[in-house]
Amino acid sequence: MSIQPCEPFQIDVPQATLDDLRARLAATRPVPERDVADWGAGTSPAFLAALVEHWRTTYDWRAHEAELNRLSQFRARVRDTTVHFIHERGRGDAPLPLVLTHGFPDSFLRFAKLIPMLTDPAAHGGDADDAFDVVVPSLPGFAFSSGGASIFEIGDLWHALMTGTLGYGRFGAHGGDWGSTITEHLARSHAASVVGIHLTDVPFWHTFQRPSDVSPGEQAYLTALEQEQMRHGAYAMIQGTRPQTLADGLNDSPAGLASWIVDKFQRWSDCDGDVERCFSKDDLLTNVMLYWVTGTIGSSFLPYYDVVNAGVPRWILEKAKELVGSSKVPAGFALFPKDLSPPPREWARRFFNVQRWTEMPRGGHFAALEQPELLARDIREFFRPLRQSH
Amino acid sequence: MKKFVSLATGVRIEYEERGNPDGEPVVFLHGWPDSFYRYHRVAPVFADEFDVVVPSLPGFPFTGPLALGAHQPTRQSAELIWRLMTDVLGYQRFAIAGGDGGSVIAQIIAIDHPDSVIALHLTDLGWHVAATDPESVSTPERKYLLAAKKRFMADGAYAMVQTTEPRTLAPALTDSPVGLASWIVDRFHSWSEPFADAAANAGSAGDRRRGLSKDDLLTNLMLYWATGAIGPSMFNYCAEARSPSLTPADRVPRQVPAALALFPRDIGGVPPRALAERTLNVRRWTEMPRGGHFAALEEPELFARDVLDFLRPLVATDRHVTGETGHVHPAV
Repeated sequence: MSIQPCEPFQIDVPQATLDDLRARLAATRPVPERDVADWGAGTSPAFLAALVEHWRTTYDWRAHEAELNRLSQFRARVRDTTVHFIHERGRGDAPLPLVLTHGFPDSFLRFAKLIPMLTDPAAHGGDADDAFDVVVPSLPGFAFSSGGASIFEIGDLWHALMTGTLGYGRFGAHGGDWGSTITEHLARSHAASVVGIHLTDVPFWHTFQRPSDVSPGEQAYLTALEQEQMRHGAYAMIQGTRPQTLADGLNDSPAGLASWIVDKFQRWSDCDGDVERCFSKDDLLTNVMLYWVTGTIGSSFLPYYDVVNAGVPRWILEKAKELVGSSKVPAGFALFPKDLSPPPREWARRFFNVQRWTEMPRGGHFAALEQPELLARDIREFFRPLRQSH
Repeated sequence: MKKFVSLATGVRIEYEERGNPDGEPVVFLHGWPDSFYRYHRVAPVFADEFDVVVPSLPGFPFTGPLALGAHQPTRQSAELIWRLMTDVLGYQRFAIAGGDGGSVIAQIIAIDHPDSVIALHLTDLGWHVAATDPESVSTPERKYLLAAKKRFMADGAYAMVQTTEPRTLAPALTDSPVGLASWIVDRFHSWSEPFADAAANAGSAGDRRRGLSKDDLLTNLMLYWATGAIGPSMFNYCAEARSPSLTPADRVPRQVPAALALFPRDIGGVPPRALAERTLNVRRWTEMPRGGHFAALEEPELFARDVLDFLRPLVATDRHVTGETGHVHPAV
């Protein structure tokens, strides 16, 4: 395959964007009930007020931008999509290429702590033989990647990026949230290129068709997921059915955008209710900034819209991929206890060739940010026996 | 002519009263995401003959909110409206017209204070009916209920957000006029006749009797924007889900006659009459040729005619029976 054009990329947000943000933050209309600390009916008004105040008075985007720009970034045209990605070379004799895929409402930032542990394990208590060449793309429609590609096409895009743009032969893949769905698609459609996949959840779409012989553990998992959806699934329903109706407000109000995003970090992380146990205000805001400065909250909803509006033929096609043997790629799972609803092993076995199964002692949905050491070790150990084949 | 009243609970209610002080009282109750503005076209039609009261409900523009943890919040709203009509305005008996949340509040007032209510005129059955067990009813009712469930999955996410995480959404809609407009206008689009063309309305010089113009939409929006009421108005969903005020089994006493005026573009279209008759003494049933959820704004003539035709004979009888001729205004 020919190498496709690929440009180095540095983040450089126009000063006018930052000035406009400053003015909007200063003019934020008072959040109602700003002394209410409770998170039970959504984002805590008191926390949001403090976060917005920190954003306006203390948060220094340029410092974080400089920090992000220490990562080696590129933009490449892959089919019809401009893909922004981090590409960090491993330090070792034979680094294994590995593509890491984020989800919603995070960004490539999800892997900022994990990247050095994977590229340079020797410097992080590991072995240089476990080094990876790490590629972290921004999903289409997220941050600095252009939009338009459907969730069902992103696995193909990643394959083209890894092989066509970057010239790799075989490689590994890791992901969570949408990242786990995309990683699964990648493995199913391009099994010959993928040495193994490592996931932090079982892609949710498998619950759409319920098998008749569920185990008690599976039943408990499915029930818990259903309850979670009833209690806290409204965000996915609105993003999937009326994305523009919501995006208009979030794209116009920094406080509103922060409220919508931070809510998920609080609920899905292992923070015992106090989001700052897992993420500093700066951590939260840098992730929010990647949506704000690029105006991408609306396009980040499109995977939800794609899934809600996918027709029966699409799901038949996805199920059929199981039958043609493309789900035989070795799979490893690292399950974190405070993630949305950790599945039992037998559920994963229905859809994957499960070679490794680790139930972690702590951590949540954003494991790569919350427990990077635990996750890095699990990824290294999973891929160790698979390296010979790449 | 706007008035305020502060009730013992600390809630301040704004209301507008006009019309014939010797006329029979009728109170008009709005819903979400509209406001007292829903009735501004029809109120003058009633003014010669009736004493018209259009309150802003708790949590809506100009009226204070109920607490998020309130016990049976919609019942509390109903109690406030009843007190407004009786204790504050001094009416013994009154008629109620309502739609959306206003329909639910009307029914609660009739259940809790049947002796105060001359009649109910409703444009929908109320949200509580959706919880009816589809296996316990006739085939047409089951079909209607199942279709409602299906529609909710496709177009009900707004209510899920407002019920489960209103505080996550409220900051954006409070801070962004565009965001507020998008959230509210999407509901008007889903639930009403296609928007009237603004230019066509301008051409008809004030005779805007069909559909909604951009000005209609914006005036309603402005009430939310100017008062910051969008958050509190959504909290009503959350609070009511935590402590429901009405179940599908709750019946309005038969002594209170009810009329249903059903508009074809309203949410889910026209329900089967049998479903209404389970809990209401249905004395009038009108299936309208056009119009939607915001009927009093969209089709003021159709709406007003139906209310008048229903109420006129009832209030005449009522006056004869009770001997009431008007009321005494306490000092407000």
